[in-house]
Amino acid sequence: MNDAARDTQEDAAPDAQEDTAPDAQEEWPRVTLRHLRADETNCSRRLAFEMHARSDTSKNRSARAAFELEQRVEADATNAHVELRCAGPADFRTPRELTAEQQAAYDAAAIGYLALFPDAVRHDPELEVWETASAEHRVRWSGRVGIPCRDASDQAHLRRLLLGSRAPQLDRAWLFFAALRTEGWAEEVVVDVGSLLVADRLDPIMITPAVRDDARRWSAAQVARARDRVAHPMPRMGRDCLGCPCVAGCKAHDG
Amino acid sequence: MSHTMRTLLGDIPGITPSGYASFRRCARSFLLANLLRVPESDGRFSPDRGLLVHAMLKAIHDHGRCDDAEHVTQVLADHGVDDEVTRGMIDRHVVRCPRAAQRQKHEVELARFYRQPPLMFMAHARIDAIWVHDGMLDARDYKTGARHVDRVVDDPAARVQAFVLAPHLPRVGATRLRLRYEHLAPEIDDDPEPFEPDADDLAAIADELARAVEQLWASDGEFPGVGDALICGSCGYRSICPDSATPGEPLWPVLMLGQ
Repeated sequence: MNDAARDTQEDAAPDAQEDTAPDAQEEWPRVTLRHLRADETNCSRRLAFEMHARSDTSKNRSARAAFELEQRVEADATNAHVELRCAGPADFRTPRELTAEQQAAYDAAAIGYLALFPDAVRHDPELEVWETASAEHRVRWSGRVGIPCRDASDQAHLRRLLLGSRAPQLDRAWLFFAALRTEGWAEEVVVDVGSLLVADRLDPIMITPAVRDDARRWSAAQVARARDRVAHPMPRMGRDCLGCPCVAGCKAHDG
Repeated sequence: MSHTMRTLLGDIPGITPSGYASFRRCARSFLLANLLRVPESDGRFSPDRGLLVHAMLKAIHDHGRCDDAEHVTQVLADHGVDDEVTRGMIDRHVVRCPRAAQRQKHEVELARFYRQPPLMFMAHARIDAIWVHDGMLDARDYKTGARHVDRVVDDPAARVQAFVLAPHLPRVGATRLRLRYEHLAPEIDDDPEPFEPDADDLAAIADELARAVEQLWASDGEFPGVGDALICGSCGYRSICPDSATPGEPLWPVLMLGQ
């Protein structure tokens, strides 16, 4: 963060206790995993808009159908565990309203889920919110990180379902983001990552207090970088223009 | 099908070179790959070799010259990829490289917003390499696979590239645009004829892309497959597409579990 931005922020910061109240938290910037990954090749104008836009802000809507299949598989897997039990074939009913190809992929993914995740768990709706407030950074970590659930011994698990064509790999940034999002939900979380169509699953990874410490250090640097960039947002033409919510008025497209 | 055109396209549809080429080849394939992002059911090819060669060409030019054999050897060794195939592809680039260029840049991300209300779209392209020399913006697309066209202009993907590149000519001090495909695989003898669009060509491309977006909005969610064995045979959805001329069994590994 540059000096001017830091000054502005500190000037604007009221009493700390007041600032962490739920109402004040709604004003904190929204920070998603994509924002934490953003670097100088990303557009800081879009970054600023997304971090600070209110829900009633007018914006260009992006295409949502691309996430439909993934969301449907995850939703049905989640519903399969409304109580402590194993998922079964009856939990995955082919969604007839989707295209034939999406249905085929859904059916294959369902087979993959049943094979890779045969254990009995119970979905824990406590984490089923989109945001976690971080008083440390005065931001809201925003976005889903998988299916939060608990096993018979009440151990917290996070199931991450992938639909790609490659074997699953450990995504360090995602793991750190999951550690931040699950803070306050469970001290230790077992992370299970499965690539459903490939029928491959990583060995379980544990989010421990030590992992959270690493995640906090990493996110502190990433949030500082993001704040520094959005203090003086500059449009940058490139891949961020696709699906951009704030094309109107962008100087990169004035010509 | 439950999708509305707005959920499929968003407020401002995006157009990319590969997406537009896919749309022109088969609307169904475009729907599945670009709008719905359905995982491919049938393996086609691994992009790993192409990505590797692209990355090496960028690294070589970012830090030196491609005709400096010692430098090339060092870059390849630093990345642990000093194999014969990669080296052969780099060598094939060297004879085509406009090293006398005033400026060059690799992996350039560009976008262009088309705004003729009510029609809007955002075109985006990642250009492998741009060289500026002799008043020309010389854009290169490195190809490590098969050759599909005799003239670059005939590739819909190239027309999207030209559309996003054109506004940048004055900024780099160029008056002409050239798009060239560099085929680096040893089995390809000649590159296709480069494309040097003039103002009329560029205006026609803008109209063509606008018409394609109009066509998308008018499709009402109907994206029929082309049903041509030649095209379907190499499609990543050939086994699950209802319109496939070459249907079969999907190759998702998970389906082998019960066998």
